[in-house]
Amino acid sequence: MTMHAPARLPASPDPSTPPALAVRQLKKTYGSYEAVRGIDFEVREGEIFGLLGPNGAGKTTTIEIITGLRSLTSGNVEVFGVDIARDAANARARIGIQLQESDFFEHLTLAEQLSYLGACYGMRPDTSALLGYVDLADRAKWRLKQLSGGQRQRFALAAALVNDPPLVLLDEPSTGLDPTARRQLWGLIRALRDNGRTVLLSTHYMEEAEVLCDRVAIMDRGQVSAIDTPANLIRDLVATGFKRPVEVRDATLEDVFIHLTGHGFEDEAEPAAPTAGRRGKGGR
Amino acid sequence: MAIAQGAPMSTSVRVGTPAVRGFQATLVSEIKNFWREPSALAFTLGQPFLLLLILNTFDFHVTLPNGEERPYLDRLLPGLIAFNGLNVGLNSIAFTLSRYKERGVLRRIRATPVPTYAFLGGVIVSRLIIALAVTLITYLSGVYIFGAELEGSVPLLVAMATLGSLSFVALGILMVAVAKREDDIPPLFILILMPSMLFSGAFLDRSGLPDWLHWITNGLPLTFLTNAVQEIANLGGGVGDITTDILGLVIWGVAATAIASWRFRMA
Repeated sequence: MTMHAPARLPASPDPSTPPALAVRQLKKTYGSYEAVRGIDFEVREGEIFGLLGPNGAGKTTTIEIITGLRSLTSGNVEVFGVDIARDAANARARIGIQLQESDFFEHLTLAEQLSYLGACYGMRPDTSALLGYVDLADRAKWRLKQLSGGQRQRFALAAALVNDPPLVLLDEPSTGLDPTARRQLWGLIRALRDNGRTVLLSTHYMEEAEVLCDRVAIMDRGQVSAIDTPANLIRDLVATGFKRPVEVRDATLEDVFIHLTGHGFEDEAEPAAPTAGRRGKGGR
Repeated sequence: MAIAQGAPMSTSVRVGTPAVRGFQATLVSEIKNFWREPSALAFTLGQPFLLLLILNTFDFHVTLPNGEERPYLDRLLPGLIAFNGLNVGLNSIAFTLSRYKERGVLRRIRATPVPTYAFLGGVIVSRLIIALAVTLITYLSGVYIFGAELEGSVPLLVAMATLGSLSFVALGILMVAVAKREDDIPPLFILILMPSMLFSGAFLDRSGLPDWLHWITNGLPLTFLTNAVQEIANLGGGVGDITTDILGLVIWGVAATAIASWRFRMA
């Protein structure tokens, strides 16, 4: 296992403050199957950290262990220095979550859903501020089933903030979204970080990891094979003498699209339009 | 689209503990969910009225255990009130919770600090309030619209029906705890519903049953509840006359709760 030395990005300003999230020697086995094989990583306060890997790499299992939805087999996880096994309630109170394969009440309005989830933390969230942040302020009285895929994912992001968490976990937040809706979501996630929150997200999109994440952990088959900034990872690879096979084509399908429609695929799409995205089913 | 530049940093105020606030919010949300679900409303509130309307057209008399001859309606109304307990408790709990489970609603709640008992407590109390409302509606429409004549204490009748539904709530949660999927619920429900409707005495007189069937179905939870409600409403009985039935319901409720708390998982 190669661990790249953290570079470029400033480390946690004060070494005495614990990282937002520390995962140490985390293992999860189901019988003889090892879903997570002793991984280590730390998420620093104020960064967007990505778990990048294909389906089945163990990303969702890792996130579900951090949220307390699954037990761990061995190792430990600390959220701002709070051990999730010793003080689960305290750790959960500091985490905001957006899960795959989860749903909300079908007959409550968006504002009511947020209030409900807030109450589950003993909090009263400012629902109009949260809906405003994800650009759904005028949908406060809508039901979930009336939303497009992109709107649903944005709502799930607002729902992850009901407890005003310093650490936000997003499990494949953009799966199933079209490029426009995905870019909108990226903007929202950056805004979270810019306001001082820490974000851990999982993704299987290379582009998402490269443009959105400050640092990424590359995960495959339950193991982390590298952790660094996307730029450093690429530079290190190039330094080994790696050359990307170059294929020159006279035009791409995107060029065809622009030629036929007169505009780019990601221009001018209206987020509220029902066609803006499909509901992500999201494989694991 | 103008993406909000500032993700709000401090948007939530602490107002209590997850257990207390979660319980209250679940109670209120569940009543809203119930009220906004047309099929739940029709099934729970409309069905007793419809059954009264249909079964009241059977114009015959029944003999009460004390030898008195009374119109069928007078016997049917307490039976229907008991049946509502099964309907609200078992039916609305089992179908709703298993749907929440399958769609990941419970998973989402499980990931918050709200304790499972607080969430389930909110669901349970919401069903008791609904059961109380249905009992009152059935009682009032039976007496004042259809003209049934009942004896006994009305508060005792209402209290018995509401508390009886608690046993069925426990059975409903047990069903969700043992069902592997949402699709397992309907057959499990029918398995309890059919013998309950036919042999509890809620709709049909039990005196004609063969001895062995009578003996077996004595132990059905709906038989206990029907006995108790009929004892109060037809014979003017008090708590002392229905201790066996109360005991039977308590045993069912406690046993179901014990197994459910062992097997129930939010996710």
